[in-house]
Amino acid sequence: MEMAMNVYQRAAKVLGALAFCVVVAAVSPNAQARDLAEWVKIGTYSGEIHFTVPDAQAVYFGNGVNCGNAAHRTANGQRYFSHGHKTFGLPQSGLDDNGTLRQNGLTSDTINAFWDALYGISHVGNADHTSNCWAYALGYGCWIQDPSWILADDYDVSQTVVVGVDSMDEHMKKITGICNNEPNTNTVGSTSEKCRASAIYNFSYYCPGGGTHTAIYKPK
Amino acid sequence: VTPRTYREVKKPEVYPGESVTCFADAGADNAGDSSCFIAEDTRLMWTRRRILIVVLASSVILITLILARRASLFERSTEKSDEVNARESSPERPSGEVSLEHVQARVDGVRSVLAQKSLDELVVQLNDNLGYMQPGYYSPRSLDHEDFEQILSNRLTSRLLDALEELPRDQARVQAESMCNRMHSECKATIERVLNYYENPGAPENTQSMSGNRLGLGTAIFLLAHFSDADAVVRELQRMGGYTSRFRERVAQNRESYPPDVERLLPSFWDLDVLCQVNLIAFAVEKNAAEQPSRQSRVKEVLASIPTKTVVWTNWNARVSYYDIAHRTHMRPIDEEEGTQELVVYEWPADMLRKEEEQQEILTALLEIFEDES
Repeated sequence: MEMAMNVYQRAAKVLGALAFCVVVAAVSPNAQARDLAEWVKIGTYSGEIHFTVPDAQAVYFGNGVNCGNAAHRTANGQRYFSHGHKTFGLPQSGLDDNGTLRQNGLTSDTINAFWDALYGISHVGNADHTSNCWAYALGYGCWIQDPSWILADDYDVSQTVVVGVDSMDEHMKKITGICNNEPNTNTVGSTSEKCRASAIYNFSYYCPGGGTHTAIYKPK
Repeated sequence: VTPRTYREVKKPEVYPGESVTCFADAGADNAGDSSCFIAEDTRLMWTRRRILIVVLASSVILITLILARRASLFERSTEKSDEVNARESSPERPSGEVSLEHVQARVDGVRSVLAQKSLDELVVQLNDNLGYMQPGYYSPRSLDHEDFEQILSNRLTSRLLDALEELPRDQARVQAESMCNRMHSECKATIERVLNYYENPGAPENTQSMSGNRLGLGTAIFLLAHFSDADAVVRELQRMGGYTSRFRERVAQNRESYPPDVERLLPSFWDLDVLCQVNLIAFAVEKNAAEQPSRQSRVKEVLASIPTKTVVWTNWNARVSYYDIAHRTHMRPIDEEEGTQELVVYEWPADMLRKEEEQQEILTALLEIFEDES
């Protein structure tokens, strides 16, 4: 009887300790948290907001790592490319550049306000923090960290305009139209893009003339 | 025929509140006589006239505004390039075509301000965060380190470099050191204000950007790398690490003063990111490679696995710079007429983006080269 009591007591202690650990892990802001930053405009403030989300809501996978979503593979090589899954919701609270805590400062509206001011035109749709420019241009609903495998497996450098990469080589945009009324038929007529967590911005160019480009990739 | 005569009568009861003059037949008895029709007609006529005057006046104002607007547009259009004029006058111009004026006006405004300022006035702008945001550098990568390219993206950096290059090398070095000192002081004072705000209720809120300070310090160190040796660059980075560590300790000791997450996030604004520090050291070593070739080869060895890219760094006065949003979003070619400089920039490989410890190991290995030699 006494032995059985000891077993119960031990089990209770173990369970109690386990529960304590779970509670500590749940309430501790430093436990399994990931620091992120996005750009916002709130009134006269323009700049970053640094914020924290649970690690599980911003998971990153390197090149060749199976993320569990078969859609996040290259079409031809079936290789998992480097990307992240950002599943946290908005709004988020965080710190601005001045060290001020911005309660619910990261929202679709504050993200839109920042990029609208920078681009100089109005956005289309809503800010999307779950995908970046690469993912939008290449057609994936995730946050691509390295597009090199996708370009290598699924695209050829081409003069036929489908997806374009500007000369900064990191920013990418969809080319949605080409100028076909002049000898140089690969001149860009219209584009569509997003930057980081922004909404979509559409541009069109006068033809003949159009937008110049430095690198065009065509799907294989 | 007897000529008809008239007399004036007042009809306040007909037009209450107004002193209206009514003309009636001379033989009529009083103001209420129906012979006063002339006055009533006159009033009706005046009402119509008033309406007509208002309509005419409105039309004149409207036409004036339209003409003024057209004149203004004409003035603006004459300032544009022939190419843009040709486009706008063409009937084939698509309705959704984007105007570059907004972007280029912003860029030209920055060029104009930078051109007019003296060296001392330029130095004051070092920690203005706006310069690092517009045109700015925005990496598509999450958890990426952007500080070094944000420094390069600020036209002020190139403008200051031009100003320093006009001085004798020793003077330029002293100026760059002075900029570093200034930015260290600014960094410390701002962090102190932020911590006071949380630790002492009622203390005033900080309004200076911590990112502006951090990037301003990075700019000063980048400039120093042009006129001093790599040891000087490392000393400045260690100086930064020294006080930011002390501030971290202070936050940890006063944890109860800070809301959840603030304690964790605050230091993320203070230090130049590891990739920026690596780039600053690598750049300084490369600049002084002739004097210390063995150091250069050791640094290259440490960084052998880190990919690089070449940035065509345009002059501050370029109409379209490498980092201009105009260039990025509108596919305009960069303006190389004001001169360019090719800079080799290190970037973390994709599989190192999440691995802060490995990144820190690279920096530590670089710093050890300097420790060994001292």
